[in-house]
Amino acid sequence: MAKRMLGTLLALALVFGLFGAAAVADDKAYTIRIMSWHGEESPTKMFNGYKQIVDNYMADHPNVKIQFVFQPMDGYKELLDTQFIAGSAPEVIHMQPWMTKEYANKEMLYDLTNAFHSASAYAPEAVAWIDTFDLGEASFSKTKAENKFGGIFFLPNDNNPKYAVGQPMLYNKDLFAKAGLDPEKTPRNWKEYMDICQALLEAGIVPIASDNERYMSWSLGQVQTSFGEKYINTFFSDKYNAQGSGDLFRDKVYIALANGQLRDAPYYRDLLTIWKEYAGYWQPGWPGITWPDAKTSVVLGTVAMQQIGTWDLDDYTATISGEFAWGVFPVPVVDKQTSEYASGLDHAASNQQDYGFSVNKSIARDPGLEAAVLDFLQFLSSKEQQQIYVDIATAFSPITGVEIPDALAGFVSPVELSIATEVVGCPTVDWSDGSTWGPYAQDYLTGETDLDTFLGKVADASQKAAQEYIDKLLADDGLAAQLAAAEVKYEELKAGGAAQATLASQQGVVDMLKLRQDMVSEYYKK
Amino acid sequence: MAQAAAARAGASLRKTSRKSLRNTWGKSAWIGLAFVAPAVAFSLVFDWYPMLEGMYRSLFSWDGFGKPLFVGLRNFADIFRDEVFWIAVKNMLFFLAANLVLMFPTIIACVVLFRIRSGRAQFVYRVLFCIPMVVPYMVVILMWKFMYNPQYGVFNNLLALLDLKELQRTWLGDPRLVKWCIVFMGFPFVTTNAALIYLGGLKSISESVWEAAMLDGCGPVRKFVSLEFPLIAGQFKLNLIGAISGAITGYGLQMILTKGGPGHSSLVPGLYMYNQAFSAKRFGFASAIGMVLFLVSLLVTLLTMRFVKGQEDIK
Repeated sequence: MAKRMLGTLLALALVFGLFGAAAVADDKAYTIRIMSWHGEESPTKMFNGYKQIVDNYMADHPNVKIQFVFQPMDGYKELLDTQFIAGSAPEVIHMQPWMTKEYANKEMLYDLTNAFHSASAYAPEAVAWIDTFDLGEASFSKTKAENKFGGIFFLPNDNNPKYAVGQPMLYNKDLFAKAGLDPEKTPRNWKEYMDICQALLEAGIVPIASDNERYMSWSLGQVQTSFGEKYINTFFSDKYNAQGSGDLFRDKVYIALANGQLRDAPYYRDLLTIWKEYAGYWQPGWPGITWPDAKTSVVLGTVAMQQIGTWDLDDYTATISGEFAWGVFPVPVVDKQTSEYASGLDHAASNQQDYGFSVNKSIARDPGLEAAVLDFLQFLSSKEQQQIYVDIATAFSPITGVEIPDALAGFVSPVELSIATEVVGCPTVDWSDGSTWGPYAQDYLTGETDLDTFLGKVADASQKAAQEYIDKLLADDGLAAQLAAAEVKYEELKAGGAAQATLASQQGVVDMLKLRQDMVSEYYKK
Repeated sequence: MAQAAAARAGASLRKTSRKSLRNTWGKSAWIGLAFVAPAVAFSLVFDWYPMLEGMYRSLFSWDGFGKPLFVGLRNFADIFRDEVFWIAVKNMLFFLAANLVLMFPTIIACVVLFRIRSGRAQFVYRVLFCIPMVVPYMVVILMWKFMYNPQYGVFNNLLALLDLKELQRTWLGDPRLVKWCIVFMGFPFVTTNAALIYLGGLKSISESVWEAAMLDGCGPVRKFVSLEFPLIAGQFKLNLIGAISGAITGYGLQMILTKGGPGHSSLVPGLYMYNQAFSAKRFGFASAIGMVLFLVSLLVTLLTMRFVKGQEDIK
């Protein structure tokens, strides 16, 4: 413990020494490797966007060489695991939110908090780098609450906290017309959506392209987004349900799951039945189909709809290439016409930064490299470079003032519906054991097992997983250690004469950790 | 006194063995050892160390990063209580049985081809056997996956063309068909590597055996049962061990083709081990599965070596 504390203090001292000195301080040659699942041969244009920024940076900084390390998402995490264990992970790593959380808690990542609170060399108008991000410091509260250091471990990119961005349905207008549907009339709720699927089916057209990978969780997400808003609060007192305690949401769900209180919520049966009925419109044989195969079916014009992400847009545009008329519409929400439990609401914008580039903790061993990496990240997130990026990549940007491409309008959920917060959905299923809930769900959705059997199996696994999560929070290096580290950090900031806003932010982290600690000890029934 | 004598005897023995090594092998022994050393070193580092590490890890609960927690044999106990593991074992037994049965088309094909005496024809079939070897196995799997696609795959389109739409299936998406589809993937079940081993074995048999058989008026079936098959029993044993250990520990095919689905209907223990390590982050549990598979594979291989006799064993 003492060793860890000493290590933290030393790291802090090192970082404080670099305050405001992110710009590359010497002419020594540095190599920075950036690992991403977007590569030169990827169907997205994200890589082209990053490459342009990197080229711009290297033109200005000839002593810094930046290399790309490409690994498709399939095998990405496995490769990263082995690289971290071997000590050879790249300096800058593109990470999904869950990866950042995992590696931060495993002490593999560099804490960017202090760098964010210093000035950016590429945003002279802002007092601190963090102020250049939309919604500023407040948009990082969730990520700070999710790691044991209360720190910020990624540079946001490709998203914006102000928007409720969903994955819409791409649809083939020609097939809609062939089924006697108005191609310009898109569904406004789940009932209308299912009516369209039925009409397509009756016309001999397969309505939805599904696969045995991402669509399993995406489709569940489509349905569960309208179920269980604030349901979790029924298990906790006002102290933990008060406004502004949204950061406790995940812990609350984990506690309730671990206590077995979420094994069978009143709305689960409706939710899961709707999900199964929905699966009836997916293309036959979907459990044996991968995402690229499902995409091929859509591109060949044999299936009418497929859910896509912003990153897929360029690829589909290029591949379909005028073969048929197509458009996108936001996935409709389930409302009272379909289930008495459904809210008819979509997720509100998270107001939180979500994911981006994380930094390998090992850079701190070389102060020159550390300065070079931070300087590059500040350059990457400058307004000018971000505008270049979004225009090339057709992506969102977290930086204030960067204009979003028109093509992304269909991906932003309707503002009037996007107001639901703390939506519980069905964590019993998708918070379960990552390796088994998918196969169990396939059995349920294809009629191989019934609802009770399915629910029983995933409930056991999710309860066990939640218990393991809470046990880790209660372990020596869990919440107690996080709280101690956050308090030390607060004192350091205070002693270093940090700005009032920075101190208030750090105090917020300390208060939140205390609240989490109180809640876990009060409610978790081992 | 006795100690001094023993020390002298020991020294003399060491000297004698060094001398004997020199005398027996001469200078070339050291050169030979130097050639073998890299292979031995790599084997120790890349074969033996991971195996021993796996044995050690199987006694811990470990997520791959944090501090491993010693749990003794609990992972092994969990395996035997794990419903999914047993589903995977049942699937593995199916694939094992299929692998064994489907060894015979290769043997029969080799025997038939061996009987062709024309040098030109022999050249042609050998080339035909070798060409598939240059196509990476991954490409073969992905090609079959494409053919099985229910929407645009060859099989369903062919059935539609023949006006047999009622026979169209979802193939890999059907839990009742998926295992058969995986087995059928090897059609026509003539394995190139195995075939070359069998042909090599048949080729090494003395011509006088075949001449004697011909003089005795031995028919084609009798020739196969009494001569050809028994004479390549050693090669059969080699391929048998490969087929058994491949079925018990292998999972690449299922991983690429079906990911073990639909549901768990094509999951095999090796793939379950992989999923537990990299999806569920249960590296200790996955190591324990690996150990169980290793022990089962070893046991079955030993039994095979004990009960299947090749020519060299009979001699």
